[in-house]
Formats: sequence, structure tokens, C-alpha cells
Amino acid sequence: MAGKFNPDLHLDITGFGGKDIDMCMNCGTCTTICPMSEDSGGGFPRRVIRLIQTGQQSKLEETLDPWLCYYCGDCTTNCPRQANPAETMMASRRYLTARYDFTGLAKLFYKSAVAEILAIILVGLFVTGLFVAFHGPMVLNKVELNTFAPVHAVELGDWIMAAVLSFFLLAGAARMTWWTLGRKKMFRISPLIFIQQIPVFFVHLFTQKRWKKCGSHHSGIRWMKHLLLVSGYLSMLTLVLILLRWFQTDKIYPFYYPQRLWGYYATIALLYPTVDFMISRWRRKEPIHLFSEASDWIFLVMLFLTALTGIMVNIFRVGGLPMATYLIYVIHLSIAVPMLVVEVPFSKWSHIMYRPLSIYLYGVKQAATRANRAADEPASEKVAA
Amino acid sequence: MIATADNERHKDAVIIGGGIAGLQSALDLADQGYKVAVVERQASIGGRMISLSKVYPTLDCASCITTPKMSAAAHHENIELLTYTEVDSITPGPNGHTVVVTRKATHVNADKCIGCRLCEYACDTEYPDDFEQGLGSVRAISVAFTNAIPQKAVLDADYCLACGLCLRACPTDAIEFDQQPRQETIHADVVIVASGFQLNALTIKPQYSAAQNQNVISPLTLERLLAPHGPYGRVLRPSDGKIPESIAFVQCAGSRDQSIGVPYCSRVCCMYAIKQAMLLSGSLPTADITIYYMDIRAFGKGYEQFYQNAKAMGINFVRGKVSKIDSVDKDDLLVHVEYTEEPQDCVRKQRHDMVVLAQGMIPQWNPTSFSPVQIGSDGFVATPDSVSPCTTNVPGIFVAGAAAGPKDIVDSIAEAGAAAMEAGRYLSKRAHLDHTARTVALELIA
Amino acid sequence: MDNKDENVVRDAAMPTTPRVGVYICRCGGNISDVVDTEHVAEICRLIPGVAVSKVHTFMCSDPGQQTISDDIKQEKLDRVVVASCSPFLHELTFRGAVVRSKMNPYLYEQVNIREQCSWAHKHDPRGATAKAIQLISAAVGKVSRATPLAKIRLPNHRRALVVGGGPAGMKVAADLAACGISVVLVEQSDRLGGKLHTLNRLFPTGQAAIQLAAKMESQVLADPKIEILLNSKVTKVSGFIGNFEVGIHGNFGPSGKTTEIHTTVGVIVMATGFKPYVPREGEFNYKKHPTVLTTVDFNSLLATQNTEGRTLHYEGRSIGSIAFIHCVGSRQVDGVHTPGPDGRLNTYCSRVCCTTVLNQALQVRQRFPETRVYDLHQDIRTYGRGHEEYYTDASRAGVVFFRYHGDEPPTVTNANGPTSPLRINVKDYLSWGEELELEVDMVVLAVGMTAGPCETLVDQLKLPRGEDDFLQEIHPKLRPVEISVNGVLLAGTSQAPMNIQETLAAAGAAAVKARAMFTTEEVELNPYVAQVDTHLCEGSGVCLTQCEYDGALAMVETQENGHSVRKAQVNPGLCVGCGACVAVCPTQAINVSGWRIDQYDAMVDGLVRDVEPAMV
Repeated sequence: MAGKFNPDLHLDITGFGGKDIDMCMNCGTCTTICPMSEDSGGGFPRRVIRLIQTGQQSKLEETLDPWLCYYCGDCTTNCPRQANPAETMMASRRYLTARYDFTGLAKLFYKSAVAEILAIILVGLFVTGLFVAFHGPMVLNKVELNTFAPVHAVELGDWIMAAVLSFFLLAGAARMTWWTLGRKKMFRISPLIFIQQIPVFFVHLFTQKRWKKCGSHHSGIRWMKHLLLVSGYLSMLTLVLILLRWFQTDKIYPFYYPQRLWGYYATIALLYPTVDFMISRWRRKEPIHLFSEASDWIFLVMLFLTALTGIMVNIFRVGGLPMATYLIYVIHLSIAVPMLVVEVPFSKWSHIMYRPLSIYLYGVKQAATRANRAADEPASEKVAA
Repeated sequence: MIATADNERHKDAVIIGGGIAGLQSALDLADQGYKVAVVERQASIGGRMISLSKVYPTLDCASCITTPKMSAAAHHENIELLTYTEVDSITPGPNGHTVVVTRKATHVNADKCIGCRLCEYACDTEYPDDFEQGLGSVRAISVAFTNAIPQKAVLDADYCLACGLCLRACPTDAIEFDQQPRQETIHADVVIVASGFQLNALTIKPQYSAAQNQNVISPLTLERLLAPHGPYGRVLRPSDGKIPESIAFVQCAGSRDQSIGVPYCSRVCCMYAIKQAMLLSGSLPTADITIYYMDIRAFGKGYEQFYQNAKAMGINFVRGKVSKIDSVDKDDLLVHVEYTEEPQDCVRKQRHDMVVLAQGMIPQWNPTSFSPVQIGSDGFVATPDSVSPCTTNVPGIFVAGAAAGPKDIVDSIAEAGAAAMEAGRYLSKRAHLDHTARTVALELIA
Repeated sequence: MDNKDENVVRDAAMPTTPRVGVYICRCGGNISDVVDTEHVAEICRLIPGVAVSKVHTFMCSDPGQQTISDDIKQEKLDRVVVASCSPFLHELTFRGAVVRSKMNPYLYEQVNIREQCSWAHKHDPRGATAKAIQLISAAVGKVSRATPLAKIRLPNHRRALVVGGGPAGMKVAADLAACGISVVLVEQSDRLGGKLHTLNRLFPTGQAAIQLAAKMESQVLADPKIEILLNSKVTKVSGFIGNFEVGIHGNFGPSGKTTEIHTTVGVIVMATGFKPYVPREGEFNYKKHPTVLTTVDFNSLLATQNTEGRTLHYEGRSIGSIAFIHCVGSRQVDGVHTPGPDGRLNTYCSRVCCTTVLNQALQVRQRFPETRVYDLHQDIRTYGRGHEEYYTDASRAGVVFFRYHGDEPPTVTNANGPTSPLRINVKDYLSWGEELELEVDMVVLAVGMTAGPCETLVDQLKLPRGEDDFLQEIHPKLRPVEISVNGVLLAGTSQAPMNIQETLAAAGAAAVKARAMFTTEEVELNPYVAQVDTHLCEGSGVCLTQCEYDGALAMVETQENGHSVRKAQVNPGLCVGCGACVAVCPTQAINVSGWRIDQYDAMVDGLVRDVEPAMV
């Protein structure tokens, strides 16, 4: 077989949560029932399953297919052999995340919940430690958060963390780009195409609009919930990275002041979907939530706790409880930071990068194919003449 | 002899089901000199096979194979046919089995009826004809079909308006409106269950739109459309009577599918689809015919050649399981399928005028509630003995044909012969025992 | 039949002018869609001798037959012609119908206007109709000159010869013996059980094959009605149903010396089995590489490998991966596969190999979890009850499947010598026709079934073989276990590939037919045999030179007016009525009953009779 052949690939993917991959008899039901497959170059999810069955690791790494699936679960519901294609796609995303990550941490975290939790605790303790060692004076007669944790220091920390995370995430993105654009074939793609397609990345980063094409299982509602979550997340990111000086103030503004409204919006946008998803996973009421890996739970719980502690900081601050505010602030950061550090580059959260990037790369590929075909045609005509 | 009441019979064997397997078993047993009763729930013997058009792999007309066996059974001095009769219970006992049956009311005196059909011609109440898969209509009083055996009219009380037209038409005063069903008992040493199969519902996969579109049809409907003496005399699609130009066969539409609870293979669908495709291309030479399949299971003698012939005739074989069928432009159909063997653009939506769903075979009859016969996890009669493939868990009760799992006609007939042999062995062993017992008794008297 | 032909023969007085009833079948449209049956009936009324001419939708149905019976009584018919399908299908049906009306069955004639008119001339209805009329006219001519005949009755020896001691043979023998029929069971090897000894675990029960063999063997051995002849072969066979003379050669008996015995049997059951296909040397590297085996070899490997381990071991080597290749010696394609030594391509499907492979693959995965299994197939044909489960279970156990097309079979190479892994290249149609390469330690070829050896019987009894070389039954549905030689039955894989359960069912079906043949004291044969007019025979003996059937004709000395003269004499049991003798007799002293020369003349007259000038 061309490229790297790994007869145990199906076992690898099973390790990332794949279910019943061997059961697939390649009938094609999943591929045709999938509402996304036709617009995605054809052939998934079966193409992915088949690559796994035949151990074609290189080709699996080169495919974007898993990232183009949004898990409506129609394939799994319709599968005549209960081979669970949707879960195979999910597991492939985890597997690819681990493959894109050069450190090996992603693989470790996906395969071992203990390792992931330990990592989170370690980073959390580190953050707590930082506060214990370097916190500012604790004003106790009124809430002065900026004295306890000066905003410029926190901001500095934010930026350092963002830089580190971006480095790992971008490294993963680079590997993804390199592999999926065909290692050698990439040089046939005009740089212009790469630039032209850039808007695609941002459109999908902010809207996930491709998801709306996904199957019948309340995908529209799921997409909206997810969009809410993303807006909450991006709001928070904006507030803590760019607008922290405006956001973390000791002055208590009236309720309708944008600073507070935006914060509340972000909190609701994070809390409502995370709670909803956790309930759904617990009850296994949708195909997408039939199987939950530890990484899925950790992601949801951490996000939920971050939002919860965040809003509690606000409640205590507004309620004028200085000690509680400082304490919960430390807890808040001791949850938020490890969540970001562990989840964003090395675990489930990385999809914030890989999803839009895959659609971008897919767009690039399509455009390049069109361009190459257009370039080839006159040539072949000439030969024919 | 034991004195018997009118409603009691003593037989060597009772065969449940008058289809091809039951008839073959009956004939084989009767040829060995055993007295046989055949219990058939329909008004005529002949089973599923008599309604088929032609049969693979020889392409003989099905009637031409079935009618001689039906006729031979009807005229055999050792065979008694109990048609329009349901089995109520089978109870094994030390002196053989007691089979209680209900002779349903035909409202026609069988002894008087001469099968002239004057009642049928006189009747003006019609309802959809089951024999024609609902494509034609049948009168409330009628002879089951042209070559039915026995040629006796049956009045369907559910549809009869009791207008009395038939009463006046009947030349022999055979019609008895007040006829009641009656229970009868048959004592027999052996029972052969040959109760056959039915197809699971056409609508079992809602994705296939059979409930919404009349042109998604059952293969049995197509058999009637193809039969020379079928409802239309030619192949027309049900919704609008158009001659179909493009016909699709969707294989495994009711089997090999765990999502509908039928994981097993129905064994016959590949071959009959190929056969129907060949017959279709004979009657509609310009039509496009496509068979969507996962594996072509042409396993029997001469079957592979049959398949290769169909390919050479230009029938399209596409490997891929159809996931969904949509209606388009009201009557046409859009088949969603992956051409799994083709590298490019493998996901396709193909338009067809008519689609035939290869429904799965499921058992016709579940004997467990009124007999000690056990069934397997697939619902068919269990056959625990590997040396005698026709034996059930009850000594003296045997099984033949599709009652013991999906089976084509060739295999059903072979198995029916085997079941008759097993039954014959059992009977001769019993006869030997009886003889010994009698000898002992005589010795004791002496 | 409750009416003995003799009575009917006696009752039928030769009429001066025959009254023929002509019945034309529409065959539910099979005929009437092309042939204008109503018109044919009308015209046939004009043929001399025809008293009644009628049309029916299904002549073979009960009401159709009833019409004939009624007319024989009411219209005083003494001859009947039915124009319908091939006599092959329904001659017996209609003969039965006329017998029920107390008419001699041989005063009935069938005309095939379906295969020969409506089907053959689909696009020429006028021509087909004209031809139907001509054929019926010929048949009326023939039947008008027919004389009542009686079936030939010969003694029936209540004893069966079962050739082959495999599962089919043992099953037939046991079944017949249980019904009180004595059986001679001939087996060429030194033990009963046949191919069961080469099998391992049987699907779908999972039972051990040797256990089944032992169980069946003990049944056969325990029955005193069965005479078992091991190490023996049928060397001579002649005769006919009820009276086959058989010579069996072998070293049976206490002396252990090779002897020959002769016996007479009424029925011969061919349970001669199959031969597994043997791949050519080099076919998929067979015989060139030590770890290319067949499924037969692999069965014994599985049976002998008792130690459970992480991987399968073979000849001291650990086998990390096995590839099974389906359809080796089956479903062969002209131009792709090399024909066998007999020039034959096995284009048929061997039916059992798919489930056999999956059964073996599953055993490997269950017993040797670290041996990988690949399966290269065309179609997975797990058709039977409990078979699909093998496919599902094999998938679940991690067997990886590849699908190839029959005209692009995979290749097996061993580039680096016999100790290196084997390389398989396959164009995989589960991967969109992509060329894939596998490296494996072992290749197992799923060999098909080929026709078994039974040359002596085939040659001496002139048994027909089908295109696939297996023995050919008369009709797969009407007479599935009978062969064109009366009294010879087929059981199991001598007829076609079958698995063990199907073999046993087929054997049961053969046994029930054999038993039915023994229900009468005498066997009945068709009377269509040569008959010598002793007044005309001058004893030239020319007929004998043309007769191809040993013992069918003989010259005997008889006394005529005090002189000893030589006359030809027919043995009706052995004569097949071929008519070779009729053609050469210088004095026209010999004729085939039912097909006499004067009947042929009448047929020719009938064919050229201008029944309908306006039509043709």
C-alpha cells in the first residue's frame, strides 16, 4: 500500500473511542444517508471507515473528511450492521487531533482521562500557587479586585498563555495543512488561492454555517445552541484578552452598562448550552450523545465551572463580599487557565481551529483542483489537435 | 377399527400447508402408501408458488411446475385436501398427534358446487384481490383463481351484502349463507409443518417511501405484473398505468439489516430479482433495469450462469445499499445510493419509474402458542438435529421448506422429500412397534 | 393409478373411424398471446376424425382435465390430443386424466404449441398459428393409428445399491434400511464417512465433523439390512430399473483377498460425492510456496493444532497473518483463468466455500487472537440459515474484507524466497478499485467443488453430466433427484455442490424416491420398445449390428413349422426404443410400439394436409 500502512489502525481508533469499526461491510448506506457527504467530495463516512479498516494511516492523515462531519447520527441510525459510523468519525477527529499535535500530549490526554485530569490539576495548582505567592494586598472593607489581582498583571498572564496556546495550536494547524494538502501536491497551488479563501476560515469560525446542512436530528437547534456557546466563548475571549482593562474594574456600573450586559450574555451563552449538553449526554437522548468519552465530559464540566465561577466573581463583587470575591477569583482562574491550556491545543477545544481550518483547506483544494483542471484542459486540447 | 365421529379423521400424516413444500411432502408420503391430510388455510392449494410468473434458473412458468403437483395431490387416492382450514392446535400423545383444525365457513356446499362460476359472474360486489396483490379485484363469491384446486367457490362474508344474486345464479343450490365454521380433529402419527413464509412489510423501512408512493412495489406484485395471466396482462406501473422505462431493484430491503431486526439473508431475493429483471427486459426491451445489491448470492446449481447471462443482457448491477428513496414529480422515484465500486462521484441520486423492494422473508406461522414446536431466534422452526435436518424438537413432527428458514423452490422441494423420508422412517418404526405390540398381545391371549 | 393398463387395453376396441378430441391450451396467455387458439380450435374441427375441438386457459388444471374426462364419456371419444406445452411437463398429467376416464393412456398424444409455436415464433402470430394447426393435424394422424399399449411390467428387486459411503450414501442407506429395504453400500476407501473426515467444525452447528461421521457410521453399522463393502468399486453395471446387474470388485470378506461379487438391485443411488478443486502448480503460488494452502489443508491444520496460542503455528513458524482467497476453482472467467486438464472452466459457484472460509477465519481469530485475517472475495454468499451470522461474527472478530472482481483476481507473489512473507496485490472494490498490497505469512485458497469420480457407472449406464460436469438431474423442481436413466437416483454432491445439511436433505429426498419405487412388486416401464413381427422376420440379424444397448436384442432359435429358424427377440427392459433397428430391417419386421412406421406416415400426411388454404 502506498504510504504508511498500519494494520492496527482500527485498534488505534478504537482507543480514541471508535466503536464497531470492524462491523462495517461497506454497503454505502452511511455515505448516501449523510446530507454532507455529497458536497464534501463524496464518500464519507465510508471512505474514512475503509481507510481505517485497511490500515491506510497516511491517507487517513491526509483526509479532511472527519472535520466535515457534524455528527447528526443519521448514518448510525440507518446502519444495517450497527457499525456506528458517526462514532468512528468522532474518534477519527480525536485521533487526528492527536496526530496533528507534535508533543504527544493530545494522545496522552485522549487515551487517559487520569492524565488529562492530572494535567488540569497541576496547571490549576500552578495558577493557585502564583496567586498565593504574588497576589496583591487584600482590601477587606470593600471589594478591590484590581488591588488583589492587578489587571495589567493578569493581562500579561493572559497574553503569555495566549501566545503559548497559539503556538501549539498553530503548530497543529500547520501539520494539518501540510498533510491534507498532499505534502507534495501543495506546490501546485497558487498562493493567490490561499489568500482568496481566507474569508472562508473566519466565516466558519464565527458561524459554523456548514453545520446547518447536517442531518435530521434537530441539527438546526443544535447548531443554534452551539452558536450561542461559541458567541459566549468568543465574548469571554475578547473580554479577557483585549478588553480586560475595561472588563475587570472595581467600579460597579449600573446593570444596563455594556460591560455588565456583555458579561451576563457571555455567562448565559456558556452556561445554558453546557448544561443542556451535559443533560443530553447523561440521558443519551440524541445519537451524538450516545457515547461519551472522558474528554467530552471534562470539556463540558470545565467550561461549565469556568462560567459558573466567573459569574460568582461578579455576584460576590456586586454583593460587596471582598474575601469571597478574591477566593472565587482564584478558583475561577485555577479552572479557566488549565481548561484553556489543556483543552485548546491538546484536546477537544482544538476543534475551534481545526473545524474552520478544514473547511478553508477544503475550499483551497477545490479551488486548486478547478484551477488545475482549467489549466490542463487547453493543454490536452492542444495534444488532441 | 375405532368408531369415529363425522368430524374425526385418522391419518398417517398431517401436512400443514399446501404450498410447494407441503405438496411435495404429501406426494412423497402418499406414494409410499401413507394416508395424508393436507391442511391449507387458503381456498386453494398451491401456496406462494402458484402466484409466481416464471421461476429460476430454468425460467419455467411457475404454474407449469405447480399445477401438475397440485393436480397429482388432488387426485391421489392417499391424499385428502382440507382447504380453507386453520390449525388450532397440535397435541402430541402416546398414540400419535391430535391436530384440531377449523374448517372455515365457505358458505358454499363443497359437495354440491361444480365450480361453474355462475355465482361469481352474478355477484356485483368487488374487493381487492389478494392473489393479484391487490391489483385486480375479486367478487365476494368466487373461485380463488383460474387454476385453483379445488375449483369450488368461496363466499367472503366480510364483503358479501347478502343480496342473493349468487343464490339465484347457482344451478345446484350450493350456496349456504348460514354455514358455520366447524372444528374437526385429525389423529395422525406424524405432522409435517410446511407453513412457508411471508414477506415483511413493504413499509418496514420508512426511508423507502413505500407508504407514500405506489410505485414502490413488492416483488410479489411484480410477479403478478409479469405473469402472462396477470392483472393487466403486461407490466404497467401502479400509480398511473405508465409503461415503466426505468426500473430499480433494491436488494436487502428487508433483510441483512439490523436496523429493522432482520439480520439474516433471505436467500432468494438475488435470484428472483435477476429473474424478474430478465423477464422485464424481455417484455420491455428498451427499459433500463438496475439491481442495487451488496452481494449477489447466486449460489445454486446453474445460478451463477443465470447471473452472468443477466449481466450479458445489459442489466445494470450496482453494488451499494440504497439508503433512501424519495418521490419526485409525484410518481417518479429518486434512489439514493453509493456506487461503492466507482472511484468518482460515487454518491448518486438515480431516478426510476418503479422500484421493487426485496422484502425479507419472515415466517408465515408461529406454532409455539398452540403446539410444543420450538422456533429459533429468527422465528423459523428450530431444527436441532444435524443429521436429520427436517426434525423438530418434537418426535414425530417434522418441518419442510421455508417454515425452517428462507429457501428457494429447488431447496424447498429437496427438503420436502427429506421430510417425507424422515416421516416415513418414523412411521415404519411405529408400525414395527405396533406390530410387535400386537404380536405380544396375541401371544398373551394365546 | 388404480386402473391397470391391461384392463384398459382390453376394454378399448379398435374403432373403425376414430373419434379424436382436440384440446388447445391457452397456458394463461403463454400460448394464446401469440397463437390464435380459438381459430386453431375452429380449424381443427375440420380435420378428419376430430369429433371435438376445444380451448381452455389451463388444460393442465383440474377443470381442464375434467373437460377431457367429460367429453370422453359424453362425446364417446376414443383418442385425445392436447395441444399445450412440452410433453416433458404434462404428458403424464394428461395420460392420468384419460386413464381416469377408462381410456388407454397411449391413445393420447401431446402437441407442443408453446415451446415450438408461441415461444419460438413470438413475432409471427400468423405463422405460429398456422404451425400449431399443422402440428395438431400431424398428431391427429398419429393418434388415429395408435393402438392401445400397456406398460411393460418386470420384477422389482427390493434391494438398493448405494454407491459412496460418505454422508449422503450413509443417509440413504440408513433411511432405506429403516424402511425394511436391503442395501448394498459400496465405498472405495477403507472407511465410511467420506469427506466428513476432511472437515473440521461444521457450520452452522459448530459440531465436529468426525463426530457426525461416527454417529452416522454407527447407525449404518448397526443395521443388519445394510451390507457394507469397503475398499470396493462397482466395475460392471447393466440392466434397468428393478433389475440392475451389478459387479462389485474389492477386497472385502474375511479372506482379505480381492474378489468380485455380483448382485441384482432394483435401484442405484449415486452418492459418489465431489472432488475438491486442486489448484494448478503456481496458481496463487500454490505448491511453490510452503504456506500457500487450500481450505482442505487448512481444515486439517486447524484440526491438528490443539495448542491454543497467541498465533497460529505452521511447520514451526508463527503465522502472524493469513489471507483467504475465495472462488479458487469456482466462478472462473473465460480468458482470465486457465482451463483444467480436461479443458473445462469451472464457471459455477461452489456454494459452500464462503461460509467455509468465514468458519475457518472465525476459528483463527477466536483461537489465535494475534493472527490477523484478511478475506478476499467476490461476493460473500452466506445465504443459508445461520450463515450470515458467520459473516457478522467474522467482521466483529476483526477479519478485514477485500472485494475483487472475477476478471481481476488478486495475485500472490513471494519475491524474496520461500521463507519470506507472501505479497498479495488486489484491486479492491471496497476501496473504489484501488490497488492494495498486503503482506501475509500464509495464504489459504478457498477451493471449490468439482464433479466426483464415477466413470464406470456414468459410462456403462450412460448417465448424463451437466455443463458443470456434475450429474444432471431431469428437472430441478419436477424431478430433482432423478436422472434420465430410470431407476438411478442422485444423492448429495454427485449432483451439485452442497453443504452437509443440504447433502443430507438431498439424500433424504433420494431415499424417499427410492422407497416409492419399491412400493410395487413390479416395475412399470414405458411400452415404447421395439417389437418384432415374427411373421416378417427372416432372421437376417442386421438389427443386432445396429443395436447399441447390450442385451436389448438377441437372435433366438425357434421352431416354425417343424424347422428351426432364427428370429430377433427384444428384451423390453433394456430396449430404449431408439429405432436404429427399425431403420435397417430389410423386411420391415421390427417396429417401435407407439411410434410405428405407419404412424409416421400418418404424421407426414397430417403435416402436409391442406387444412386451411386461406390461412397459409
